[in-house]
Amino acid sequence: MRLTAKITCFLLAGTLAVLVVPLRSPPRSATANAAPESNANGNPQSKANGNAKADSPANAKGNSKAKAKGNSEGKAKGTAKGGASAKGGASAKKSAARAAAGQPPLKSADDKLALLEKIHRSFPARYITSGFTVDELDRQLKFLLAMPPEKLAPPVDDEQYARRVHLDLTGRLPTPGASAAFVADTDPAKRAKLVDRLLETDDFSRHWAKYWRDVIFHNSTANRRRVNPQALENWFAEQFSKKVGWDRIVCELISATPKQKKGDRNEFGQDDGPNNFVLACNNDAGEIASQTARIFMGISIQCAECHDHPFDQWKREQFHEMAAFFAPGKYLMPDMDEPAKKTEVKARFLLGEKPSPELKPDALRVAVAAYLAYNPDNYWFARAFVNRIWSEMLGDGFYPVDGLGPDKECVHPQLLNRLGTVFRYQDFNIRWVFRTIASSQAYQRSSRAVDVKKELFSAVRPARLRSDQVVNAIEHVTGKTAPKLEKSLAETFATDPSASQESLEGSLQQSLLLMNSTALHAALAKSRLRTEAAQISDPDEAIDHLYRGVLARRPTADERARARRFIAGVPHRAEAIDDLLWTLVNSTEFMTRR
Amino acid sequence: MREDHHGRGRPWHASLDGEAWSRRRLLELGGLGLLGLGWPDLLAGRAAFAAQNAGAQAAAAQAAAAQAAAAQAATAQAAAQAAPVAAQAAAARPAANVFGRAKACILLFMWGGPAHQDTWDMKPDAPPEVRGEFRPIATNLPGVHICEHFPRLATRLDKLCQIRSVTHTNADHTVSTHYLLTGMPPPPTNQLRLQWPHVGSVLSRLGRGRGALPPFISMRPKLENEVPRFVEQSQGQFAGWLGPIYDPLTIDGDPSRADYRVGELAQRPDVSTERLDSRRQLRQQLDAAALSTHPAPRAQDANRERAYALLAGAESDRNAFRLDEEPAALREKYGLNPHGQSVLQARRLVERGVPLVTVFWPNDGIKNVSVYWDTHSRNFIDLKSRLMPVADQAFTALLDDLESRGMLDETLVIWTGEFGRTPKIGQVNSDAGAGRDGRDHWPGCFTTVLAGGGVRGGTIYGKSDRHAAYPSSDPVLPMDVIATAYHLLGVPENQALPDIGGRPHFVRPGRVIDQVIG
Repeated sequence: MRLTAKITCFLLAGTLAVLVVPLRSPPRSATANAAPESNANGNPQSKANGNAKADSPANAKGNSKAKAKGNSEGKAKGTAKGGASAKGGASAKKSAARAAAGQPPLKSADDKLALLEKIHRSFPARYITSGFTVDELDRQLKFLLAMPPEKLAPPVDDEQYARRVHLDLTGRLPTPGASAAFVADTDPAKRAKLVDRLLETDDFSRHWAKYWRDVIFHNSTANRRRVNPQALENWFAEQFSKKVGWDRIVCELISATPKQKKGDRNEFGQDDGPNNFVLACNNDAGEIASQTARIFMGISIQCAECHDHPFDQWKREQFHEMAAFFAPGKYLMPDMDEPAKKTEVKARFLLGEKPSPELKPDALRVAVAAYLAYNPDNYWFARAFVNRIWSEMLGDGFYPVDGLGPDKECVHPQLLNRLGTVFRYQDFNIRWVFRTIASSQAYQRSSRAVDVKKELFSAVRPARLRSDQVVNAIEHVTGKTAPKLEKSLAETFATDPSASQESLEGSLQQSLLLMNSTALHAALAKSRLRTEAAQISDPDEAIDHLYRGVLARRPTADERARARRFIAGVPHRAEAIDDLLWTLVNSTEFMTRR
Repeated sequence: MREDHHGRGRPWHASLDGEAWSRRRLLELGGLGLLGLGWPDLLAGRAAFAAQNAGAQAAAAQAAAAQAAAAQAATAQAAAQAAPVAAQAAAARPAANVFGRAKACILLFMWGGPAHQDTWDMKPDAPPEVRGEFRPIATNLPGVHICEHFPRLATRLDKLCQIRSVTHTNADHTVSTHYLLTGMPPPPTNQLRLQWPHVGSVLSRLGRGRGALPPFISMRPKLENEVPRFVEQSQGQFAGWLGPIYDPLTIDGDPSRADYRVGELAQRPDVSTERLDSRRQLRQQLDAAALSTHPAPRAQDANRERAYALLAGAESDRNAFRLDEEPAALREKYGLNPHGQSVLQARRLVERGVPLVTVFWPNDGIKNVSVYWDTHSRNFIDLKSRLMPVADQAFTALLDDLESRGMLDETLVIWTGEFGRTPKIGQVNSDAGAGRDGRDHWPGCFTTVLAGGGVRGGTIYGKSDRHAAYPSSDPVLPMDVIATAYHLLGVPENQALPDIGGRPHFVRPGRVIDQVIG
């Protein structure tokens, strides 16, 4: 079924019945651990003033029509049906033209955000009566899994939890000292406290900035001289550390309108971080549309560029209507049978929202961002983010993060939609998502491969480290790595962050690098860890030291015995230490988040 | 009915469901593939085929005796009608048993779809908007002409078999590659593990190859330019339902660059083979101990074992990627460009026992105008400058090089694109369209060329109609081309292999084209 619009909204034009009371205050019973941060979300305007009237002088006409019923989340039907079209008329049209003509150009990011907010407030408010505590999540998942407790993977021990949560949140291994202190800590709330602490680190912002940079750039065909992935990464890191909401971040990305500098064929404003999403899409309307849908909605509409989507609900025309938002002028759709014949297509969002025809191209991009984030019927936006983070942290998503399949492939949609909805009402506070997942029972189970779809989330799937985690892990062992080695590691271990863990199988080149790279082994030979281990006379202690330093855990008795036998069989202690260090760096475990 | 359309006609064999993908199962399969099913199976297959063939030949002999006169008359008539005399002469030869003749295959994949009528299958008598700008030239086969921009190949046609009547119905690049690379029509999904396995993955699964190098290698030279890399998105280039262990080693480096290298293969003076082996054993022990309590992804094990084997094995395997070891004159013969050097790399690999190397055309050209062989615009300019001379040089050098090393008889070479191009210049057949000097996608008819490895050289099989739009005789489906390749590579018709979930599939649909082999 194709979702049709419940709301038609004409912007800035006065024809719109701006709807009453679009309060966005955080849900009253928000989860305890989310509450402190939602205030710091960099979104004071929306919270401080829920009244649309203040900003929208032209709304008086229509607002009697508005009905903002507090439907529960999910499929709310037509809360604001017909608000816009009802009282159009000639005078309204005139005033629309006037308003559009007087529309100030969107010069700064603040102008854009103001427009975004204006559109935001035109959507009906939805209340949810409760938040979603971690306990509720655990209960709901337990109910949905319907597996006997003995079939669920057992809880992970403190040592593994520390390694896992450090890797997932910060991309780095815990130091031996931090790991030992965490294990020794007797505070029952120590895991939650660790999560809170890690979420405040720069490493958290940096690690996830790299993740999103790769999501945007991994399959990009843009000329490398006309993009700046590093600027994008830095910008992401800054947004994350400033606790900007996901809605604002995405809006800035997709509403960017980079321009080529005259006389410089490679200067497109790429050094300004947020310009790089659009530039990664070659500033091409169709590409921006399909990447927006893929990355920020988790749905694949690009097949619809050429024909009606074969496996899903998307129609070819919808794709081109979406693309029209990003066109610099008129958008022309080629005829399917006669591509030379083109028909003009007007911008219309996937759920049917139509922007005012008066909007200029730069404002159109803001409009599409607003529809993306704020139409409560668009549950895809919030849940695509939740699904990506869940998928990274548990090794499996509710559906493939790129959404290659139709909706029905989503497992436990109730749970995912619920998480998405609460995320929305947390003002898209990304830390709420991380905190909720990291505190859940599902995340705290030990790891094993899950083969059966209905048993997903009964364990954490062991995951290959991402390239930045590999670089960090090597650095953790060797100390600061030479730039050349770092580059070689990053390139050899680069993976598509949108590909499922199941499909990441490593490569021969990766094995050869870890086993045989001269640069890597020179760094290992000079490392502090190796020097220290070689100086410890008791072999057991040396073994423990290496295990702690490389794998962030103590060896089992069996492992210790095997390693001791090995050391005893090698004539020179130093050589044996080298061999053992090599072995641990080449172990499956070292390259795995488990 | 043999119908190959996307999702219709011949049923797609995929009832694989995600639930059945068991990693444990995958690992079991992995073990089998690395060790098992090698030459003994091939030999058994060959023996079975020989027995079958002997029976057939006896029957044929009886029939021939009874109908000798009629048959002769028919042959003469056909020969008189058909233009390429060589083809008919070849067809009359009794087929030798070439099952399993090829020990290896080099698949030269002209991604983008070469214009068949401007390369192999010229139509000089057609109207100008069909025949194009190029002129045919005589070749070393009497009466057979190919394009003037293949001058070197024109003198080696006695080694080549052109199939001028390959046809299918899918005009989408990244989907139709599936048909040409695997022999199966593309499945109605782009899910990687529901795709059919590439020929190289099947050979890997059957334990083919000798030496330590991976049995299936794909060259996908990557150029630093703005042209998007469509090859990476093309279906059918991986192991599909056979599972990731049988995926190819993909090499994305550009072998024509001085800094080209693949993996850290240089032996380190401080690590002797013995020491490497003792490290390996320790790692296996400790990994096994850790994995017994914490299972983790293990497909990397196959890569690691391969890496050990390479590091501890023969020097020549480690030098497989050292193109600088080749004489400069030979490198020049192949062409000092990404494609030429990739083809040379392929020969080096086959020489070292790799049974299948795919060489994809690099992402050259002008973005949104004419990229790879996808000449929507500038068809003639690009064919005569960017594409044909490079292809002519590399293919010719490969034939000569294989022959001078005595490898041509045992090495099957396939030169093909995923489809041909529109009969008329400027004719639009897809969303991508065509400029005034371009041709659009056209799967209705195109030419695939085979050589070596039991292929009957000097053959032209099948004919296209007067505008090279559709086959006019002996239509061939891509599955028949691949079935023929499988036959030459010693994979029998009834070869079944289990998918990741354990369900067996016959890997080789299609029929062997007897007239092009032996």
